[in-house]
Amino acid sequence: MADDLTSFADRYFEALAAGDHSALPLAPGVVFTENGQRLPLGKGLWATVTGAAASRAVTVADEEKRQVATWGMVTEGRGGAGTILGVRLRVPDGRVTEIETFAIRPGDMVSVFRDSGFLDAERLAHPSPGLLDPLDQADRPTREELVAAANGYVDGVSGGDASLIPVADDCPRFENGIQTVLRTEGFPPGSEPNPVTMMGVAQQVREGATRHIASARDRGMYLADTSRGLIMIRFFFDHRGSTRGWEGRSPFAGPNSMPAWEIFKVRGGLIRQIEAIIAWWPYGYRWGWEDDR
Amino acid sequence: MITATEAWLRGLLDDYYAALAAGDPGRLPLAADVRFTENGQPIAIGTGLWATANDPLGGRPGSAGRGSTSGLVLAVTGQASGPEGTTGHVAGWGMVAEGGTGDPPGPAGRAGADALLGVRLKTTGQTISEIETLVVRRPPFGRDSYPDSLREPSEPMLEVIDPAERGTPEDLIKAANGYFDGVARDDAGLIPAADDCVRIENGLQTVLNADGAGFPPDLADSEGLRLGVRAQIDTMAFRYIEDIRDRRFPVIDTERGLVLAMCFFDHPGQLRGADFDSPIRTPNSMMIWELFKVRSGLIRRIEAIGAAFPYGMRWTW
Repeated sequence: MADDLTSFADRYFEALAAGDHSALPLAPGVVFTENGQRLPLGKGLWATVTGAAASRAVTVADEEKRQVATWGMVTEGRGGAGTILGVRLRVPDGRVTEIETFAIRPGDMVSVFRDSGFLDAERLAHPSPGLLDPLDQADRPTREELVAAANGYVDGVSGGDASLIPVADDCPRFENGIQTVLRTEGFPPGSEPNPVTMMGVAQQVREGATRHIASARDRGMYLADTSRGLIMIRFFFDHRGSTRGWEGRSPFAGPNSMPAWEIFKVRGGLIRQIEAIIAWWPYGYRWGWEDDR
Repeated sequence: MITATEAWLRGLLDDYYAALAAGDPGRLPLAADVRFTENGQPIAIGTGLWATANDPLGGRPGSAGRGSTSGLVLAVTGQASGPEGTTGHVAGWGMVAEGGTGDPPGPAGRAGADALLGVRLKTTGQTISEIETLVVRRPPFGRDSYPDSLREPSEPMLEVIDPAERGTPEDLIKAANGYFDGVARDDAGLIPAADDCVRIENGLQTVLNADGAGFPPDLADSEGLRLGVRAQIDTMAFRYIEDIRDRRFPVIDTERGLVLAMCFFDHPGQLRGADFDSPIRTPNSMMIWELFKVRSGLIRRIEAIGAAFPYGMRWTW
């Protein structure tokens, strides 16, 4: 049945590539959002998309919740520049009742980091290696363990307490396809490697590299696949910016809120792999799906 | 009855910028249930720009001797009596700095960044009951700094106009709506603008600017910059603007012929199959505060600030 859910995600991207949402099995009154805004289906990225990758980086199907979430690359506009598209579908009985999308356009006018190049489109065009592999029966976490691991991560990162994060020392993390921990190569030419990206997940927190993150709020989604040890959540990291009187260093002068969809692979009680897609929006922004836990 | 005088309202806006620079909202006469938004988001007073703003004058070139509100463009209404009692409305915008320590001054200190801040205050009785802010955190049109003109008051806007040339609030709103309708529908005939009407957007003059003053070189020679408001519509069209929606007109000053409009410009991006090139490739909605000066029924001057946000964003007001 999980395969059935995944097929809806496939169909969504196929319909996007064709620019035709009428091919989707939609329930009457289907709710569609793009980047937290409720729009008529056909607007937003539906009106600009020119292509969608046949394979995607990340997918998780939650049979119990009858939801599937996925992300991959699409192209928009002339010249076909890359946009990361996350899609969550609720399909209770063969028809889609909810479509939540997260479109990340690293070069657009909305992002704080315009033209930062914080995107590896090539990596996001293919399934993340190992992420979707099934786990041995004995290694499978329960749903509760998955939820606790995901919450432990965002609590630990936003609260500056590494002890809250059940993470393996060798756990890689990719954000928008860019490796942001344990990095040993691929540093931008001509600049010194950022020492923070060479650390592991827990070490970054221990060294205070995440102190600019004030809170992790509006957590939701919590889509779990215990057979693969996967859980996906969405939330905002609030960045207060370089606040008055604070001795720490923020990468940001002003405040912003960082929307994230983040998936964790958990085995033997530890997070083994993290993938996330992120953007930078106005401080205090909300998903518009707060009722969905 | 307590009267919200114009001078008091103007002073309150000055006080707002001063309290912001000091990071102390407690200096303001806030109502217990005051509503606050920054860039459309309801957040707690004291967070957002309140937590990052610092004295915009500290160590900044050319800023010696200027008060923190010297750059404010102001629009004011006096008092109005209604079911809530006496209410007042004031709005303006000017430059602030955030995220910098200024200590030590110069490059060794944390540099921080300039931002353009619009503030709208509503008063009820003697307290501030509504605070709406728009923070533009990126300089306009690919520049790396904001034009110096944003640090000075806009004298033409502040000029009081002859009583015979004033319109009613309804007249002013009609003129502003005419402008928005004309831009959204590409119909210059709907726009009651004088031929010499100047328009300033985030500090840069985007009409009747033959030499492209203020613009980076790649934009300075754009043909449209030398045209007037109406001629731009006739010649270039703004087909990439899908709609100008959710218009509000919260602050009106008939003595000066001023109406402040707030709205969203929807930019759907480069639509598939469109027969024109959109300069805005992917969807966004631009939150715009646009101040019109209207005399004898014609728009004489337009000054606006704005920033891009996710497509479809709405007011929470």
